[in-house]
Parts: sequence; structure tokens; C-alpha cells
Amino acid sequence: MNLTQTIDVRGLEHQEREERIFPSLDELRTGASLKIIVEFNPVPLVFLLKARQEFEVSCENEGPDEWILNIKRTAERKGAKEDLKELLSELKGGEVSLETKQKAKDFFQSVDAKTIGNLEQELIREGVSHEEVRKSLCDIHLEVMKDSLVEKRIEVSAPHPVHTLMEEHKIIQDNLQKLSSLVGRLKERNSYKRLGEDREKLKEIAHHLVEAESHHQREEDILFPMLERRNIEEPPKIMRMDHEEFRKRKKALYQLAHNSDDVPFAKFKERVIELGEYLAKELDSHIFKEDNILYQIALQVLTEEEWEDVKKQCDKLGYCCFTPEDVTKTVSKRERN
Amino acid sequence: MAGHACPTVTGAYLICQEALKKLYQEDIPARGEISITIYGATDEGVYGVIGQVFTFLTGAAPLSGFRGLGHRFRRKDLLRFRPERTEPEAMSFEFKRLDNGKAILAKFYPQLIPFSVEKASRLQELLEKIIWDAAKEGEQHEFQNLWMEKVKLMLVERKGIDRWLRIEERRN
Repeated sequence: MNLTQTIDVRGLEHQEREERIFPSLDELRTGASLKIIVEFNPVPLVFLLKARQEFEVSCENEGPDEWILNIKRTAERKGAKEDLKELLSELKGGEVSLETKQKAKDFFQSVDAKTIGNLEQELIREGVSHEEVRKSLCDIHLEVMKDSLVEKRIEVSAPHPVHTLMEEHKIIQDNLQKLSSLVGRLKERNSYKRLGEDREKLKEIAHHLVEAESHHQREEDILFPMLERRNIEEPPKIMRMDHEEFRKRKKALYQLAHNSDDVPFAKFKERVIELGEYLAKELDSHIFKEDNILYQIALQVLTEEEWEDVKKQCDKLGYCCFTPEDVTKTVSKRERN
Repeated sequence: MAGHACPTVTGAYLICQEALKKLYQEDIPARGEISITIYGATDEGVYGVIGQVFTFLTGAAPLSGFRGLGHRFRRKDLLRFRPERTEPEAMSFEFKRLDNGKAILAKFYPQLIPFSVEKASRLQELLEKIIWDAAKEGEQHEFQNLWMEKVKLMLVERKGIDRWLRIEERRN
């Protein structure tokens, strides 16, 4: 006879709900069932459970005041962390086989952004270096998951801080595109004279890249500490590391752009290509990670009140010269009602 | 201020100086007997920095200040932040004597300081280069000169000070 445990999470905060539900699911034996009662339509939870392919999920009651999910374990619990470790060691090996890519794709499709963040955090605590997580896992994660991550995204609109950050990302990406094109033209040039107006264009691109510091500052000083207070520490740590790497290279590019008179053309060309290619690729990849993983985690865990606080702090800190004005406009309570 | 001169610190100094002149007239201002209200939040813009200058000059301190010896020498909480505007265009500060209750309201309009738009724009451009270590030696000197030019205009010349710093009596 199978015993059915009932978990009533009505009225609980998001984190408390998760702390009740997920450990109980992990402990559920094959053949056993669990009943979960919530006061809203638990679409994300149902999606996640079905994706894990370990459970049979049915809805005993569908609103309007309560939803009752019946969850039965039909297959052995997969060791998500062990799977991730195995994947990491395969990804370290250099060339990634099609089989590994498919394995990675299947893995990442079965977990949500927050779970990935948690698993990465656990791995780092167990001694896997940040660098390894950043380089191996994040990059391949992105490559196999691009479409699926974008599909699952929670969308927000102005003046939500995430919307502002993402709009700024679009402008930064536009700038990176210009940098890429300039680097392409530079490869064909053999003197400053032949560079022509691209010399001034590089200054303009470098200026916009350094202007983006306000964007990074809002993330580092406001958003990341909010996540860290919710014990989501490792993804922000990885993003901060990325920011440091970008800062060094943006500074070097800015210095080159403004002091090219003092540099022989061959050296200038080599360095601008190196820096430009790095930034165009890595910063673009970083932006994708933030848009589709980090911000999504934040949207899942932070409350409305916390987002209001984030917005207030962002308004005080200020925005980039290129931030569209309409996305930062604060909507007064009167306008909202 | 320990060798630091910038428009913000200069402005704070002048606000304090003019406020105390109005409050005390011919008398000598008494340290620790002045309370100050800053109409802005601690972490908003440069209000925090201005507050630090006021503390240095008057002894009026925020919650972190000296709690006193018995009922004497208390400095704590003589400086407070109230995040509200008395006027949209001005940064406002109330200075109040604790001995007789006399108070003044100092209004500071940094946007009215007569430093040319072209120079302000050039300063901004050079500041970016300074921050990112990309300024040539000549540009560094140019930045220093422009920066100090603004400070001198405010502190020494007091050019147009009646427009950008106004002191009003406050009636209870």
C-alpha cells in the first residue's frame, strides 16, 4: 500500500514553498505519491516535474482557490549533481563530442535556471573551481541551451530593473557588433592612414564600453547582494569574475583608442584585434548568461517588495548615458492604479 | 579637508560658513550646539559627503556620533537626513541653534554655478580618460586646471554666489 503525504504550501513565501516541496520530492520512493496544495496555478512546477521524467503528475483540483497536485514517482531519482559532475569532466576534455552535447542538452532541459545555479554552487563548494564552471559548463550550457532558455524566459516590462538591464544589454550588444565589424576591417589595413575614420569610431565604441560601468555597478552593488542574501552566491560570483576580466580589457582598448599616436601600427592592430575579438565573443556570451540564467533566477526568487527596493537603489545610483529614458521612468502609484 | 578640494566639498564648506554667519552674526558659533537637517537621503547623490563636511565643521554628527558624557558634549543625532525636497531645484539644509532655537534654511543650486557649459563638458570628457588611465600628461594637467578653476570660482571669487547659495531665516 502506498502512503500519500500531503504538503500544503498555501500562504507561504516562495523560498519556504521550495524548501518544503523539493526535499520531499527527492525523498519520495518509486511508486509512492505526494499531494501538494497551492493557492495558484502551479504551471512552472508541473513543467519542471514533467521535464524530470521521474514523476506522473495529475491535478485533482484546478482552482479557483486551490490547486491540488498528485505526484507519483515512476522512476528512480536521477542524481542531478552526479550527472552534472560527469558532464563537467567530459566537457573538460577539450573537443566536445556530439554525444556529450546531446547529454548536456538533455540535462539542461530537465532542470530550471535556479536549479542549475544551485548545482553550480554546490559543485564550487565541493572544490570545483569557479574558472572550470565558468569556462566549461557555462559556455557549453549556452551553446546547447540557447533556444530552450530563451523559450522559457519570464518576460518583464519597463520600468522593471531587469527590463532596464536587458535593454542596456541590447545597446551594448549593438556596440559589440560595431566593434566586431571594425576589427574585421582592421585586419585588412596596414597603416593608420588606411584606417581612416575607424580610428575615431574606435574611440566612440570604447567610450560606450566604459560607460557601461554604471550597468555593471548596478548589478554588483544592488542586484547581486540581493541574490547573495537569498543564498544564491555562486552565479553572482562568476558574473563578478567576468566583469573583472572585461574591465581589464575595456580599459586596455580605451587606452589604445585614445593613445594610438604613441603605438606602432602593427602593435596597435594586433592588440585591438585581440581585445576586440575577446570582448565581442565573451561579453556577448556573458550577456546571454545574465539575460537567460542570472536574471531569470532573480525573477524567480526576489519578491515584489525587493524589486521595488532594487529599482529605488538603481535610480539613486544612476544609469548609463545610453540607457533609454523611458525604461527607467518610475511609475507612480497613482499611474499604476 | 585633508588636501581635498572639489566642487562638492567646496559647496559644503560655503553652505556651512554662510549658514553659521547668518545664525550667529557677531557671536562665535558653538561647536556641538547646532543641529542640522539635510533634506535628502544619506545615500542619495552627494548628500552623504556634504553631511561629513558639516560634521567636521560643526560637530553635529549622525547616529554614529559621540553619545556624550552624561548630559554634556552629545554630538550623536545632531545631524539628520530627511529624504524630502523643500524645492525641486535646490539642495536644502536647515541649521538650528540649540541655545535659542533660531534656524535658517540654506538652499544650494549647484546647476547655477557660472562654470561654462563648454568647460564642464571638457571636464567630463577628461574625467573619463583620467578614470581609465588614458589621459596624456597634457590632458592630466588640463583636467587639474579646469577642476581647480571651478573650485576657485566658488571658493575664492564667489562668483554670482547670491544666485547659487541662498540663506533664509526659518520661523517656527
